[in-house]
Amino acid sequence: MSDFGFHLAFWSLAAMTLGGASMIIISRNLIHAVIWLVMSMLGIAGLYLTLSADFIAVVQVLIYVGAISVLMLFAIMLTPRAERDNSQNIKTGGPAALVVLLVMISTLWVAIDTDWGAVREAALTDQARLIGESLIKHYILPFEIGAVLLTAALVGAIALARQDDEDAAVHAASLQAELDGEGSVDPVNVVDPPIAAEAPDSEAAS
Amino acid sequence: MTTADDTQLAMQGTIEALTTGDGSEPVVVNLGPQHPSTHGVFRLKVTLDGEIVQDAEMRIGYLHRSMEKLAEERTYTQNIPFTDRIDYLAAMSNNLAYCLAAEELLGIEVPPRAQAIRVMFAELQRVASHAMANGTFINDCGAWHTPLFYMFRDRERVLDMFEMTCGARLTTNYMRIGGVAFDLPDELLPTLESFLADMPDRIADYEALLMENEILHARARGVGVISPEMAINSSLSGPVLRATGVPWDLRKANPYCGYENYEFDVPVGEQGDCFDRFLVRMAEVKESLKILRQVVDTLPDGPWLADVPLHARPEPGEAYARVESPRGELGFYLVSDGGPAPYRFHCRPPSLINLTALKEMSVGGTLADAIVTLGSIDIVVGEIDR
Amino acid sequence: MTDLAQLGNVLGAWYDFRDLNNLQRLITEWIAEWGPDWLASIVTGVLGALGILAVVGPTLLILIWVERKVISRFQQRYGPNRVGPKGLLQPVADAVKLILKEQLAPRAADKLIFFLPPVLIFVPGILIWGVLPFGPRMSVADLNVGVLFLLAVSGTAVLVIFMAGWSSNNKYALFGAMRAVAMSISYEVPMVLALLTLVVFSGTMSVNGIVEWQQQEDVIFILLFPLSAIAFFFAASAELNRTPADISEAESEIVAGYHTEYSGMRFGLFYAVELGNTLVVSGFIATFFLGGWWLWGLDQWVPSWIILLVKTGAVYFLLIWTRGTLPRLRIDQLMSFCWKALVPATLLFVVVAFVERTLLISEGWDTTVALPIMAVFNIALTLGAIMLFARVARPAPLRRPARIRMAGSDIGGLRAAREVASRREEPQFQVGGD
Repeated sequence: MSDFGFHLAFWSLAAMTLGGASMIIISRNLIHAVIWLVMSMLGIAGLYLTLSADFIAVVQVLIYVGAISVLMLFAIMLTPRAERDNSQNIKTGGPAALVVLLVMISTLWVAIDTDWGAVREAALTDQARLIGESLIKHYILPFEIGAVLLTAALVGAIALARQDDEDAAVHAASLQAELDGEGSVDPVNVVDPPIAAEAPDSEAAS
Repeated sequence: MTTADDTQLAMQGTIEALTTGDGSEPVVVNLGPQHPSTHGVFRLKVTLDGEIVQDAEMRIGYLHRSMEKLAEERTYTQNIPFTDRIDYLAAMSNNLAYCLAAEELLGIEVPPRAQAIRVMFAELQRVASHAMANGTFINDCGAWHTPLFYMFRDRERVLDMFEMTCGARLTTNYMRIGGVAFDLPDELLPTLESFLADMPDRIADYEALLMENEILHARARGVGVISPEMAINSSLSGPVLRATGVPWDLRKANPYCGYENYEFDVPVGEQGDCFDRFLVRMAEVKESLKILRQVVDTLPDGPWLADVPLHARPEPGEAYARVESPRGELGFYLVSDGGPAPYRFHCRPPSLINLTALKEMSVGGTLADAIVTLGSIDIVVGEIDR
Repeated sequence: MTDLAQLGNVLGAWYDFRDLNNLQRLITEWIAEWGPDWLASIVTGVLGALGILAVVGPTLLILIWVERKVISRFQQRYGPNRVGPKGLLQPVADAVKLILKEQLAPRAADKLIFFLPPVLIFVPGILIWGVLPFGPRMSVADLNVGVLFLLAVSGTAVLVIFMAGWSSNNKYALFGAMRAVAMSISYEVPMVLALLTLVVFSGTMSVNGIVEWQQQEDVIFILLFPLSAIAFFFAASAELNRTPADISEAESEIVAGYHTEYSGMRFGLFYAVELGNTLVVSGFIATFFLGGWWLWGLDQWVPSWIILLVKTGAVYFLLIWTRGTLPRLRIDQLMSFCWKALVPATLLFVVVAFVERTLLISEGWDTTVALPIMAVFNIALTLGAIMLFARVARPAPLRRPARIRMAGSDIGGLRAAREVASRREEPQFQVGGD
C-alpha cells in the first residue's frame, strides 16, 4: 500500500470513527446514537482493512453492524421511552464516566506499550486460518470459556422469555375468566368493555 | 369515542399506546379505510399485542349512500337499479331478491321462461362472484395475484354473457318486476354451452393449483374458526355458515323461482375455518354449473315478462322475499302504503351480518390471520353500508 | 482435446471479450509505467465500480420489464406493452413518473433518518456485487473472505430497513421493519450454515475459490449438497422479501411494509435495490451451487460472464416462478420453519460435509470415486430429511383432512348439521391430511 493512499484512508476513516463516536455522546435521541455508533463501527472496520486484517474487518461489519446494532435498536424499541432524549440519564453519569476513564486509560496503556512496528512487517493474507488455529491451539481455554458463557447467556435468555410466556398465559386466562363470567354472550351485540385508554395508572406504568 | 377522535386516528399514523398494566403496550392499528385488503372502504381497528389480535373493531359507513331512504322516493321499477349498486359483485341476485319482494307485494305470477332465465343468471352470478371471492381470498393469503387472474378469466366470460344479454356487465339492471327485461339473445346459449363445457377443466386446474397447496393449507386451516352454534347465533348465512357444517341453503330450504325442479346438492364443510369456506365455494361453483346445465336443457318457451304497469300501486301491506345470494341470505323487505313508491325499503345484507362474527373469528390469531379471515368472509362494502 | 482446449484458451489481449479483465490489467500496467501506484489502484477500483454500475443500472431497467412480463405471462395477461416496442420503455416511463412525483414525508417522521435509507440501501446493494466472480479473474475484489463479506454486507441492509421503518412513524412501516429485522436475523443462520457447508467442503472462503473447486472436481455443489442449496434458496428469498416469504412488505396485511411512507423516486430506489438484490442473489446461488462461470469446459469457448448470466437468469426465473405461484406464509410459520427445519437440516449437512471432507483429505479417498457416492448419499439424505420434516413438523390443523360433504336432503339447522356430519359414507371430497 502506497503511503498517500494509506494516509488518505487512515485519516478519513479515523475522522469517521471519531466523528461517529462523538456524535453518539452529543445526540440526544437514542436511535440516532445507535446509528452514529454504526458509523463509528464501520470506520473501525475500515481501519482494520488498512491494516490488511480483512477477516477481522468483515467480521466487525457482520457482527457489530449487522447484528449488535440491530439488537440495540430492538432493545430500544422494546423499551418504553424509546426515542426520548437520554439526557435525564445524567444521574448515572458520574460512575459511567469513571468506568469510561478506566477503560480509556487501560486501552491507551496497551496502545502505548505495544510495539506497533511489528504489524507493518507481517502483511497477513490467510488470516482466517491463522486465527482459527490460534483459537484452537493456543487460546483454547478462553475460547471454550467464551463458548460456555455464551451458551449460558442463551439458556438464560430462553428461560427469561419462557417466564414471560407463562405470565402471558396467566393474563390470557384471567381475561378469559372475565369473559366467561358474563355468562352467555349474545355474539351479535357484544359490547366490549372499554379499553382503559385513560386509565389512571397509565402514567405510572409507562 | 367521538367522530373527531376517529378522524384523527384514521389520518395520523402515530402510535397510540394503551397501557394494560403488565408493562407491555398493545398497538392499535387501523386497517383501512384505505388499505389493500379491506375490499373497499371499510375500516378494521385492531388492537395488537405484538402480532396477536386482542381486539377487532369494525368501523363501517364509509360507503353509505342512503339507498334505503332514497328508495322511498322512487317507484318500484325505478328502485331496481339501486339494488345493482347494493352488492355490485352480485347485481343479478340483488335484482332478483328485490323483484321477488315486489312481486309478492303486487301478487304477480312470473312466466316460466322468466323463472328459468332468472335462475340461469342468478347461478351465473354465483359463479362469477365465487370466482372473485376465492381469487381475492387467495390474494389475501399472499399469492401474487395469479389465482385471482385465473379466476377472473371465468368471471370475465360470465360478465360477457351479461353484456350480451342486457348491455351491462356489473350493474345489470336486468330483472324486472314480473320477469326479466329482455329475452335471451340468440348468441347467448351457444356461449353458455361452451362456458359449461370449459368450466370443469378450469375447476380441475384450480384444484390442482390450490387444493393441495401446503402454504395455503398452513395459512387457512384452523384459522378464523367459528362453531356452528355461534354461526347460527350470529345469524350467519351463505358459505360462511355452510363451512361450519350447517346445511342451510335457501334454494333448498325455501325454494324460489323453481329451484325445487333442479337437481343439485348443498356442500357443507366441517371445521368452519377459512379453508372450508374456500372449499365450500369451490364446490358450490360446481353445483351451480350443474343447475345451469339443467336450466339450459329444460328452458321453456313463452313470454319472459308478465304484464305489469310501470307505475304499479300495490295494495297496502308488506312483503319479505329472500334469496340465496353468493354471500348468503339476501332479503328485501318492502312496505306499501298504496302509493307508487315503497313506504319502507329495507335490505338484509348478508355481508354485514356475516361480518359481525369477524371479531369472534379473529381475536387470538395474528394480524395476518385476521386479514385472511376477512378475505374468507367475502364482504362487499357496498352491501354493508348501502 | 488438448488442442481444442489450447485453441479456446484466453488470448490475454485487450480485445478478447471472453475475459474483460485483460483490458483492466492493461490499463493498470499502463498507469503503473508513469504514475504513482496509488493512482493505479484507485483507477482500477473506480473502473471496477463503474463496470458494476454500468451492468447493474441498465439491467435493473430491463429486469423490471422482464419480471413484469414474465409474471403477467404466468397470470394470463399481456403485461406492459404500450410504451416502446413490446413495452420495453415502460420502466423508463415509470422512472420518469417517479422522479417527477412529489416527495412526501410524514410530519411526525424523523426527518434525517427518513431521508437517508433510500440512498443508504444502495450501498450494500452495490457492494455485494464486488465479490461476484464473472470469470476466472473477473471480480472487482476477489477477497479470500468473500463468503463472509457477502454475509456481512447483506446483513447491513437490515439496519437500513429498520431505519426506514422506524423513522416513518407509521405503524405499517414499523411492523414491516420489525418483521424484516426478525426475519433476516433468523434466516441469516441457515444461510450462513448452508454456505459453511461449501466452505468446509471446498476449504476456501473465497467465492472464486469455491467456483474453482467445482471446476477442479468437475461437479456442481447442488448435486453434492442439495439441501444446502434448497435452504439457501429459501433463506435468500426470505431475505429478499419475495413470496412465499415477503411478510415484511406483505401487501395484503401491512400495505408496503417499511417503505409505506416513501413516495416518488424514494420508493423507486427501494424497488430498484430490491430487484438488484434479487439479481445478485440469483448470481450468488448460480455461483455457489451451479458452478458459476464454469460449465464443464464450455467456459473455454463462451465468455465466462455469459455463462454466469445465463445461470443467473435461470435462478431468477425460478424466483419469479415461485413468486407468481405461491401464497405467503405467516411470520410465526416462517420463523418456526427457519429454526425447526432449516437450521437443523443445514447444521446436519455441515457435519456431513465435515465428515466427507475428512474422508477425502485425511483418509485420501479418490475423489473421482468418492464424490459420486457422496452425491448419491447426500441426495438420499436430503430426500429423507424433507420427508421426515413433512411427516413430523406438520402443524396439528393440517394433519386432519379438510372434508366437504353434500347435505343431500338434510337441510336445516344444528340437527341437520349433526345428521350430515355423522354420516358414514365418504365425503364428497377430501383435501390434505397425512
